[in-house]
Amino acid sequence: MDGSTSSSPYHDHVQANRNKKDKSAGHLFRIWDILRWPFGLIGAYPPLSVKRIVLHNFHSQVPDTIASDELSFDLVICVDGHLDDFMGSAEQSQSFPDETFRLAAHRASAHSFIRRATGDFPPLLVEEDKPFLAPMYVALPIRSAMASAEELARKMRETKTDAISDPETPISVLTGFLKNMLGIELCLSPPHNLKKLLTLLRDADEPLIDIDVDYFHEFQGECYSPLEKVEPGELGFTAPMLRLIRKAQPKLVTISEAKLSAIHSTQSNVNTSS
Amino acid sequence: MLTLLLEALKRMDYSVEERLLQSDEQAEKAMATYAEYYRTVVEPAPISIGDPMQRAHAIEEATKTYFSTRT
Repeated sequence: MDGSTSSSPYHDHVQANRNKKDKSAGHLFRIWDILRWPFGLIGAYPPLSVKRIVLHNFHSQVPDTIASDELSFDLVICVDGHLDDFMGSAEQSQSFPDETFRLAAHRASAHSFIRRATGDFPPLLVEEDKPFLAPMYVALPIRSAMASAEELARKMRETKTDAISDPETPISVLTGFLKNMLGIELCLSPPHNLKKLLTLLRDADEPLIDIDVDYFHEFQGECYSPLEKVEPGELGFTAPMLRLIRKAQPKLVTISEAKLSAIHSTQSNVNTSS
Repeated sequence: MLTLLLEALKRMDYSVEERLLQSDEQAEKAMATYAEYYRTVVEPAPISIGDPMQRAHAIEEATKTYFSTRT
């Protein structure tokens, strides 16, 4: 890579947003100070945040949403029933017949593309770009992590990568691969709960929560890729996730992989939303 | 279940935007077509040790041929 190219697209995006925010915050400060001065009010700025859920069918639609959003995220938390870390050329062909096919092909690369949309891959960044790499955590059930680790080990055997002689367990090889190549921290949940992510969320200014609904036990009948033979306790539940969102109050939550039949159910309140 | 999740989020003052496909049939057809493409084109592509671009070019050429013969 050319080391002289010190600016990634996300670097420019974040810098532009920071400049914009600095300017608007300056105006607000002046206006708010003038308004409150006669009354001796002590307080914070007026609330500006608008909290949004963006609902998608395919997880592969989410990177476009993130890339086009005006927020510049400083933390990304994903929960998913599968690890979508493909990076191969097979998912990026220029010869795909249409947009829906492209989205179907990119489903297995959603986490990789979210990484690109929030700072790029660590090996592609030069040192001065790294502060713009939003920390990214993927909460994944251990059964799915084991399956991904076995798949990675199989690929390493096929390509005769030296790492197969490594004494580490497949999970630790996977964890190292995700951290070094994608800048993703893996959170094995279940068995671990999501509480440790709350501290990270509270410390972040603009966190993103990305939910693939196949992470949840209750959604296995309403998603495109349910896991097979799920036993109680193997997947996450919605209640802890809702508690996390209630406490962290992120401005953007992306949700994906729910079937339209679930979204358009006559029971669904989505249709009655304004 | 999705209804309940969204309702709970709306009670936390979240607004909902939809970026949805036309139908489940469209989504499922695209997934099935991709699965067939993957089995036919990607899996059989030779693994080129030391030159990953060689495999990428082979897949790209095979992809062009695969879709040109199907349309």
